[in-house]
Parts: sequence; C-alpha cells; structure tokens
Amino acid sequence: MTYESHLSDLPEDAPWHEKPGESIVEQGDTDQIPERDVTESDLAETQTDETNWLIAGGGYEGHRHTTAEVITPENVGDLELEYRLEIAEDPNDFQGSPIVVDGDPPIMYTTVGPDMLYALNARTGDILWTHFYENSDGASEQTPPAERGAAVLGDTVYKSTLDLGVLAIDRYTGEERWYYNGAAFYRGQVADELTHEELSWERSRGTTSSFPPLIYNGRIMKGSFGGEFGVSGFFDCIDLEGNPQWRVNMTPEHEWVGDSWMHGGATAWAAGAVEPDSGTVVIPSANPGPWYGTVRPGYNPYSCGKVAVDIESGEYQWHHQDSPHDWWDYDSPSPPVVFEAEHEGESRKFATWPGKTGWVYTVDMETGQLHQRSDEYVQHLNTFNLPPYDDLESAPWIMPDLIGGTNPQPSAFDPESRTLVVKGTNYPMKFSWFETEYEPGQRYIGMDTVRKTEPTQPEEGDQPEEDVPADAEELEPGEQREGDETPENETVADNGGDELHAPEEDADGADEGAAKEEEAEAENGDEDEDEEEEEEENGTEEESLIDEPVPEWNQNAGVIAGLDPLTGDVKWQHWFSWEAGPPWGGSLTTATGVTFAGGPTGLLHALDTETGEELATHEVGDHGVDGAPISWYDPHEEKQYVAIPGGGGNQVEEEGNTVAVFSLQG
Amino acid sequence: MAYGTDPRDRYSYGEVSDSDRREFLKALGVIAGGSVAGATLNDLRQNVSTETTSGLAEMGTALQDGLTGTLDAALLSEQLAALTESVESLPELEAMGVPDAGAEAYQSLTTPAWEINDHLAEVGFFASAEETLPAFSPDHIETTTRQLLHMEGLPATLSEVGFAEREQTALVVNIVNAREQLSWWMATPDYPPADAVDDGVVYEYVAPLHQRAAEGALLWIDGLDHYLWQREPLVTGEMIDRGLWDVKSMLGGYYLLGSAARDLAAEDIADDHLTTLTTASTALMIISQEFLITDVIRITDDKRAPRSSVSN
Repeated sequence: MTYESHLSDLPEDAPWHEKPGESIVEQGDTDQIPERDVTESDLAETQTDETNWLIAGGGYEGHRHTTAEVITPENVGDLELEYRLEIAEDPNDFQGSPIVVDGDPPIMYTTVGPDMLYALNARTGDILWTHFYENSDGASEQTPPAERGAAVLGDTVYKSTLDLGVLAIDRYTGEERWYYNGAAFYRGQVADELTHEELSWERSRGTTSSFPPLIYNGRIMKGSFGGEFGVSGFFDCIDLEGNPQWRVNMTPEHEWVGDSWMHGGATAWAAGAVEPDSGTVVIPSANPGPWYGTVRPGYNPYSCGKVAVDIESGEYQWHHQDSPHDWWDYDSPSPPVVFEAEHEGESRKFATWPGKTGWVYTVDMETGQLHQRSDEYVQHLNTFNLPPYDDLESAPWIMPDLIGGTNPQPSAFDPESRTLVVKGTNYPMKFSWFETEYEPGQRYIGMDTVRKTEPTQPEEGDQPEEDVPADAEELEPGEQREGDETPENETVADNGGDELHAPEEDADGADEGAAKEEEAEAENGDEDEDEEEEEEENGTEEESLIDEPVPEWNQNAGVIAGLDPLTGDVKWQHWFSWEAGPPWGGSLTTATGVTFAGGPTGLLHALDTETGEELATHEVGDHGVDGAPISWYDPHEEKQYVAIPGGGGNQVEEEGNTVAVFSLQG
Repeated sequence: MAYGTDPRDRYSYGEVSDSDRREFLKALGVIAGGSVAGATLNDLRQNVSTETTSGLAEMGTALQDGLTGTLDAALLSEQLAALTESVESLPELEAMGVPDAGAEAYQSLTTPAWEINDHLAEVGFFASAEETLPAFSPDHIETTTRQLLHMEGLPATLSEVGFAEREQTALVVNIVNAREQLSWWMATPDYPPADAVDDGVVYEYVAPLHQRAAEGALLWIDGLDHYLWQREPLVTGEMIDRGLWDVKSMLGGYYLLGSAARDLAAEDIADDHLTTLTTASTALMIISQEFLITDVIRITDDKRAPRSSVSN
C-alpha cells in the first residue's frame, strides 16, 4: 500500500486568515479572570494535576480521569449542587466537555452549538464573557450542530468553527486574536470566495460538528466534517499564529478506485488524542461516502477507524479501520484513549477505543497492530449483513444499528484498575436499499430503515431487574418513558426517530449520516397527494414490520460498560431499558474508583468503576444529559467539583441547556 | 452479506457441491431432476444450450469501436505470463499464514495485473465496456454464461493460469449463483446523481463499472498483507484458506480479462466472445472481492480466533 497522497500540498496564496463569518463578543465582569499563563508543560501535566482540566479529553491521552481524591465511593452520594446554569437557548447540543484553568477563581470555558463559547467563573457560574460566531453558511435553529469543546494555551483560548476554521480568542476578554480559514483551500483548489463552494451548506446537527482543537508542541490540530455532502475528509495542523503547517488527506487517493476519493467522506469530526512521548496524534475517522459501496471498491482508507500521524511532520504512522468498505455507517468517532501497560514483561503504549461496531479495539501505539478486540459490550445480531435491495420485509434485524455501538461518546479510563468505561446503544434495525425518485435540492439517502426501540408486546416483568431505570420515578407522570405498552408506540421510522427517541438525526448530533429522509420530509411541505398516499402505504408496511418480534434483543436501549482493554474482558454492564433510552455523552473516572456519566433521564450517575454498581445519582435537569463530565479540585475552597453539560436530546426527546456543577468539601 | 438473495450457501470454494450445481443448472433453465451433471465445464456444456446469446456480437463490436487507443499485444502477453506466476505462487502464501509486519507477499501478486489495468484504462477499454455492455442483470449474466460454457478455449485458458477442472467449474457456477448480488454493481449513470441529492454520486469521480471491479479486486489483494498482519489476533486458518480462493478467483478473472484484451490486440477473438469474456471476467472479480470481504475482512465473533489465545 502506498500513502504518497497522505498529505496535501498547501498553497501560500489561499485566504488562510480571512474570516467569512461574524463574531459577537459580550463582556461581563472579566476582572474575575485571574492572570495565569497556561504553558505546554501545564498541558502535559493536566492529566495528573487535580486542580485543572486543560484539555477536553482530560489530557493528551484522553483518559478523562481525575487524580482528585475528595470524592469517594462512600461519599459520592453527598455531592451538593453548586449551580445549574441555563445557557444558550433550547434546543442546543451539549455533546462537549468544558475545560477549566486553575486559579482563584478557576475559569471554565465551554462551548455550545452553534459556535458559542462561554467563559465562566467555575465556582459560581457567572458568565464573564461570551464569544458567539456566526458562520457565513448559517446554522439550523431547530437542530444546531454539536460542539465538543475548546482548547487553551498561554492567554489564548482556541475554538473550532462551523466553517472549518479556528478562532484564537483572548481568554481574559473574549476578543478575537486571529482566525484560521480551513475552507480557504480544498482538494487542490483555492476557494473563489472565502469558503470553498463545495464546503458550503447550512450547518446543522447530523451533518456538521466541531472537533475540539488539540494543542501539542506549538501545533494546533483540528478536523473536518460533511461526509454526506460529498466531501473528502481532511485534518489540519496550524501553528500558534494560525499558519497552516500540514493537512492530512483522510482519503489517500492512491488507495481508492478512480477519483472516488474525492467524494470519499472519512471526515475527522470527533476528538482525537495525543501520545506525547512520540508526538503522535490519533485521529478518529468517519464513514466513507457515498453510502453506495459499489462506486468505491476497496478498503476505503482511512474511513471508519483511526489514523495515527506524526505531529511534527504530518507523516503517516498507521491506521486501523473498524469497518473497512463500510455500508452501515459504522464509523469510529469515539475518541481514542492512550494508555501504558505491561505486556510480555515489557511496558508498552496502546491506543484503545470503542466503535460503532460494538467492540473495543486495542492496538499497539507504535505499530498499529491490533492487540485485542474485546468481547461485545452491546448485542450483535446479523452483524455485517448487507441490506437487501428494495426489500425491507426480508431484511434481517441487525445489531448494532447505525447509531452504534458507541458513537462520539468519549470513554473514560481508570489506569489503576485498567478499566475503560464506554457507553453504547443497543437497538435492532432493519434496512433496505432502494432506488428512489429524486427531488432536486432534497436530501436523499436511498435507505428504508425500521428501528426497533420498544419491544413488540412488553409484558410486565419482561425487564430484568437491572433494566429498570433507577430514576424512573423522577419522570413526569404520563410521559412516554413510563412505558406506554400500546403497539402504537412501537417505533416506525425510516431514520430512527420516534416519540421517545431522537427524531431525524443519526443520534450523534454530528454523526454524519443517517436521518436524512425525515429531515427531507420536514422540509418538503408541498408534496402532492400521490406521494402522500404512497408514503402512507409505506408507513403501513413499516408499521407491520415493527411488530415483528426480535427475541434476541434484550430490550435494553443502551449500556454503560467497564472493560479491560488489554484482555478484552467485559467487567460489567449497566443497562438502560428501552423505557429510559440509551445513555449519551462521555464519562469520567476518579482515582478513588468512582465513574461519573450522564444518563438519558436527566441524571448524573455515579458508578463503582470496578463493578459498575450504582453508587448514587444526582439530577442535572429534566432532559437527556449528552455532555461529558469533568472534575477539578479547588484548593482555595478545598472542594472537589464535578461539572457536566446536560442537554442535547440526541437519543431522548427532552432537550435542555444546562451546565450543572456539583461539589464536595474536602 | 447479501444484496437480495443471500448467495453464501451457493458459493463454491474451488469445489462445486451437487446442490450448487443443481442451482446453477436450474438458473439456466435446465431441469436437473434427481441427477446432476458432471464436474467439468464440458459436462455442464452438455446440459446448457446457447439459444439466447443473440446480441453479444454487436456489443463486442461496439466495445472494440469505442477504444480510444491501441492495445499492446506484447505488453499484455508479457504481463499475463507474469500473472500466471502470481497464481502459481499462491500455495506459498498458504504456507506463510499471517504475513509478517511489512510483508508484501499479497501485494506482489498484483504487479502484472496493475500493468494490464493501466494499459486498459489508457486505451479506453473500461470506458468503452461500460458504454457498450449492459450491466449485470440476471438475464445478461445467464446469457453470457451460456456463451461462456460453449467457448471451446475456456478450459484451456483457465488451465494456463492454474485452475484445475473442478476449480474452473466453480468459477463459472459462482457467477450464476451470485448473479443477484452482481446487480448492485451498476453502470455509473445508473446511480443517483449528486447534483440532485446530498448523498448521490458525482459521476466524474466514479470509475467505469468494469474498472471498478478490476481495480477493486487489486486493491483488496494489495491490502491483505497489512490487514491480516494487523488483525492477527482475530485471524483463523479458515479465513486464510478461503481468502486465498477468493484471491485466486480475482486473479483468474483478471487473467480472463487480460487474455481477451490480448486476443483483441491480435485480432484473434470473435466479437461475441469479447463480450462474454469481458462480462464474465468482471463478474468473477466482483463476486470474489465481495466474498473476500465476507470471508476475511468482516470478522464477527463467531468467526474470529478465540480471544483467549492472545496473551496479555
């Protein structure tokens, strides 16, 4: 295999520094922000420094682990709410992870879609400044794109933008320092305007998202999105002044037939991790495009996996594809975790991640060779069966469905017990490909799907005891989550939506694929009667299909699981029933053996990292909790804090806009 | 794996079962009854008529007329000879098992095929084939298979590249028994266009159908050194054995395509035979790469090597 087309040649005459959108900055009491020069050493040490959280993933290696020891399994139930902050407007997407710079007070920087950055007093929740960026292509108000966080170095905070750029912002005032225009050049062409025309469309959840910038050794790295808009993915590195250094072509052309690489997808829209000793970045990659696999024979690298790249030069190190030549949207957005372990008497570095395929992959960090693929942590059923052609009825039920397995949910790692905590979705799905009549300008994916999110005829007592959500009693009376057992509440959806579970989006909120048709229907209000009748007939067919029992399904919507990534053992599974919905967002481990993770019913769950036993729950809001928790210790207050952005509603209907911060006195 | 009817139960790994042979004959309109034909192509030929092969000659003429360059008979002959050596070396790969890091054993198999491929693309062979030949409808597959069976030289050509009689039969039977799957490989203009839909196809980026089949096969083979090495904890002997048959089928398909081009360069091929060999060879490369994916690439828990075999 040759990777001679791994790097793109970057011209000097592109409008790299011209900003196509507009920034709106508002300032509050910015004097509260203490001066604190964040150094590269601070970034390197944040993974073990209990007083801050300087990188979205908790450190270069993405452990999402705090060394603070105030909160323990014994006292985690005593956590007190410091504040709940309602930010942005409903509905928004809270898939991100805040960062916190230590100081008196500590300052939190958190992002919300679309392109909204907040600086907060992390102790009180006071908003100190906001920097909202309006990209030139606009963003859907109904389904704003996901945001996954900011980065910090020196006195600057950095944020990816929805027009594929990076904003450098004075972290004391919120004012812009510079802008890097990543859409100024694309596939060998300098943009005619400021944004290359093939990278221009309205930004919305399901098609666009932000990659939290990664900073290492004077380099800032970020990814791209738009796999269902005919793009080829890329991954950029710029210097601290915003000058381009290298760009990885995520569809290396020599490995694709013809020019199919140009439409090949494999975008890099989720967060990566860094192995600091070798200076290697591990980049998640999305599905190949278009979905019709027969126009792109071959492995379609680097789609649906991870690619490791030397940060200094951009040179290829290795890649691993979870699902080569994919047809199911089994991309691999969940951020990798880098860890060290003894193997055959030798200390080795590994990279590990869960995939939408429902297994955890652990590879040797130096070579990329697979060390182990775990046992399944979600169910598998007819996995990798290709969908039949225009024949939904005879299509087999497939698990995982196109949501996963694990989508962009970041995992957490506890180095002490060598436990990787992952989240997964667990729905059966049927799908069938078809030829369709196109309406110019309408979305199209040529796929009929039926997603089963409720049992056919649930009987009382069907659920294993562990399946019943601990927080079910907190739901509003009469809500769907209480479990309406009528057949009408079976899911009938071509793209996975229903009254309980997220409509129209491929759940990931930035997952670049599914959920096209429903959105098309929403936009197309003038369909003629014949079409409506046809749809009704189709709907009847799908309704009958959804009544099919799937006896293999355990009737759980999702899971939080603990695995040993070195052996592949599944240590425990904490299931969420179909009544609750699947858990979304990331997780967090503590040095004392506690795992924190948001759930679908508005709660922050505290689990025992070794056993998965639920230790406590704390209310975030009356909505899904799609963000990723973080933690820091404030020595001035002698408290350990836990913060989690809660909102989104990718997998459950209720959307919110809460940042909840809890604490425990030391 | 299945587009439409699942062909897995009817796919032959170098040995055709009685039931697969019955399925094949049934598809071609032969009522086999309680007995089945013999195991060679000649045996099958006795049972299958050529009555519906009209139109193939005109297609072959059009394919030839659509070429934009001149075929190089010497180059094709030289590379076909090298391709024969590639197939002969397959037992060494079986003995090798999982490749070592950095190995190029699989990749080296395809060097002559890539030479042929580049030449065929250069003279417009693939573009003309897509323009002039129908895509893989079950009807077209059945028609060309009838013709294929009645080509006197087919057994000899396949023998040249190392296929035993039973393997030759398996190749032809697989084309027919997986014919529905082939229909998912469409001519480029038959895909939904990107200017109308978000996830449609940009035609200018898509290679002609026959080129996709050929280059796809070569890319899959080229990547096996890395793929098998990287997935070593999951790989079983059965995967390698089946994968080698799939590889041999792809190379055999490429040999048939190259030999048709060579004979065309030498003006030593009938027009209907050109159509038949182009269609059949392409079908072989498609089917065998699809089965390679199933046999080796997509590894479910029931297929993988036991997890406990890995030391941690």
